[in-house]
Amino acid sequence: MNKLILGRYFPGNSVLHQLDPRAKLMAALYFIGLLFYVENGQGYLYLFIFTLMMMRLSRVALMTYIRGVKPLIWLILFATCLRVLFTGGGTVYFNMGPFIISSFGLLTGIYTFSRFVMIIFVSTIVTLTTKPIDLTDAISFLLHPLKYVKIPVEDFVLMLTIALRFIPNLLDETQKVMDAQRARGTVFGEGNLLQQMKKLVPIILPLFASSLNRAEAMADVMEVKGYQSGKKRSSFRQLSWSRRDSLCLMGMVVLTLGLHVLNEVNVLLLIASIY
Amino acid sequence: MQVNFRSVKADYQLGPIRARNIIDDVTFSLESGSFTAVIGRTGAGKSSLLKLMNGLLLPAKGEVSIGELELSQQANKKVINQIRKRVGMVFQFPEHQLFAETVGKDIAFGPRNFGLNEQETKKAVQESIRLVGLDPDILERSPFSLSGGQQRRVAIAGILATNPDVLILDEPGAGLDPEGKQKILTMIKTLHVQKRLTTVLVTHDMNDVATYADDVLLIDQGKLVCHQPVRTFFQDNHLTSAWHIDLPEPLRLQRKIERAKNMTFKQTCLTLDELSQMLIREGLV
Repeated sequence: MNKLILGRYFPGNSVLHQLDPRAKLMAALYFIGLLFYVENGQGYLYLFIFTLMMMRLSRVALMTYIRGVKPLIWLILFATCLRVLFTGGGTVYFNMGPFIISSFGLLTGIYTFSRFVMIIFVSTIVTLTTKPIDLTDAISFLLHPLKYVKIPVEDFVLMLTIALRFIPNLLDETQKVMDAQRARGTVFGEGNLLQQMKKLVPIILPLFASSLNRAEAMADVMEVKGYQSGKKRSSFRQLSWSRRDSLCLMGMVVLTLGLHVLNEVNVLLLIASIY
Repeated sequence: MQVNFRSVKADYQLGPIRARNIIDDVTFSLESGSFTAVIGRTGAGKSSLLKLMNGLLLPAKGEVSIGELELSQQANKKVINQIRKRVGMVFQFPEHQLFAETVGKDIAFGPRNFGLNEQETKKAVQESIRLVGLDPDILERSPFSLSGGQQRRVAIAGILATNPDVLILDEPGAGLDPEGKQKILTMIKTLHVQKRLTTVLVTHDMNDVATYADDVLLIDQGKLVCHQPVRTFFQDNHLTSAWHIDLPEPLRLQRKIERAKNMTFKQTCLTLDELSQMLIREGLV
C-alpha cells in the first residue's frame, strides 16, 4: 500500500516543480501522443533520452521512478507478450497455431515495452512534481471547453478534487483496519490466492462502510454551506502562466521536429538502400 | 500475564516518512493482574506503545516480553501470532473493524483465526456476548444495524472471544455519550476482576484514571516519564503541574477547599465517596 509511487507528490523546488500545472499536463499528454508517432528504434532512443533528462530535472531519485514502474510490471509484460506472440513478419523463429515469434514481433515487443515504461515515467514526473490540487485546477482549465456542449465540468472537477483529497485518509484508515484485523489473528501474505483474497473482505467492507458514511456527512456539510452545482464560482488559487511555461510547450514543438527528422531520415535511408 | 519492556526503542514508518525513536529507550514492567492507565499528550507515543505489546510494531532495539513469550527485532511469525492470541487489542473506534453479515460471525472471526474449532468458537461467541452485556438475540442481526454503543460492545466481544490474558484498550469510551462511556468502562473493570486480566487502558480522562486504574504510566515524546500507583501519582503536585495533568474532579475540589481554608488534608481523595467521607470526618460539612 505504501509502495505506490504513481500519483504521489514529492515536495521540491526544481524547475519542473515551478512550471505551471497546465503546461506540465499538456506537455505530458502531448508527449504520450508523440510516443505513438515514433516509427523506429532511433526515435524511441531519442524520446527515452528526453525522458531521462526530465527525470533528472525533477531532482527525484531514479530509484523512485523504478519503484513506480514495479507494481505495473506484470501488466506491461503481459501486453508485451501479446505483441510478441501475435505479430508476424521478418524472420520467423517459432510458429505454433496462432502463436508466432518473429524478428519483427520481437522488435514490436521491445517498442511496446519501452512505450509503456515511458508513459509511466512521464506521468510519474507530472504527479511527483505537481500538487494534486494544482493538477485538478489544470484539468479543470483544460476541460473548460466541454462546458459549451453542456457537460458539467465543474461537478466533475469537484468530484476529482474530493477523491484526491481523501486518498491519504483512506490509506490511513486502511492501515488502521489492517492492524485491527491483524490483532484479531489475520496473517496477511499467507495461503493460496483464494485464501488471500478472502482475507481482504474484512478490510474492504469496513472501508466501504466508513467511506459511505463519510460521503454522506460530506454531502450534508456541503449542503449546509450552500453548495449548488452549476453556479459560477471564483477560485482561491490562481494559476499564472509565465515565459517558462511557454518555453516548455515550445520545447515540445522542437522535440516533435527532431522526431520528424529522424523518421524522415530513416525513410530516406530506406529508399536509398533500395536503389 | 506479566508485560515487560526492556530498553525498547522503536521507529514508525508511514509511506516514505520514517519517524525515528517514536519510542525511546523505555523500560517498565506491568504485574500480572494489574490495571494500568497510559497517559500522555497526543503524539506522545501511546498508540505505538500499545502496538509494541502485540507485535503490530516490532522494537528496533530491546525486547518486549509477554509472559514467557519474547518479541524483538527478529521475532518470527509464529511467536507474533501466539502473542496476538494472548494479547487482545481494542483499537480506538473498534466498531470500524466490523465487517461480517451477522454479529455472531463477526465475533467468531478472531477465535477462528486463532485455530479454535467450531464447537469452541460457538462457545466463545456465546460467552463473550454475555460478558459485554448484550442479548444473545443480537447474534443474528447485522452489525451495521446496531447503535454506536452496541457496535462498540460487539467489537469488544470480538476481542474477548479469543480469551486473552492481557487486554489493551485505546480510548474505549471515545465518541460515546457519558452514560455509554461509563457503562463500557465499568464493564471492562468487571471483566478485569472476573477474568484476572492484565489490563492496559489509554485515556485522556483523569477521572477514568482515578476511578478504574491501579497504576499510571506517563509518557512524553516516546520516553517514560513515570510509572507509579495512581494515588502516589496524583499526590505529587510538582509532577502533575509540571506535565499539565488535569486532576480528577474530587481531587480538584479538595485542592480548592484546601486553598480557601488554607490547610492541607492528610488524605488525597480520588473518588467522590472518599471526598465526602473525609469532609464529614473533618467536620467541614
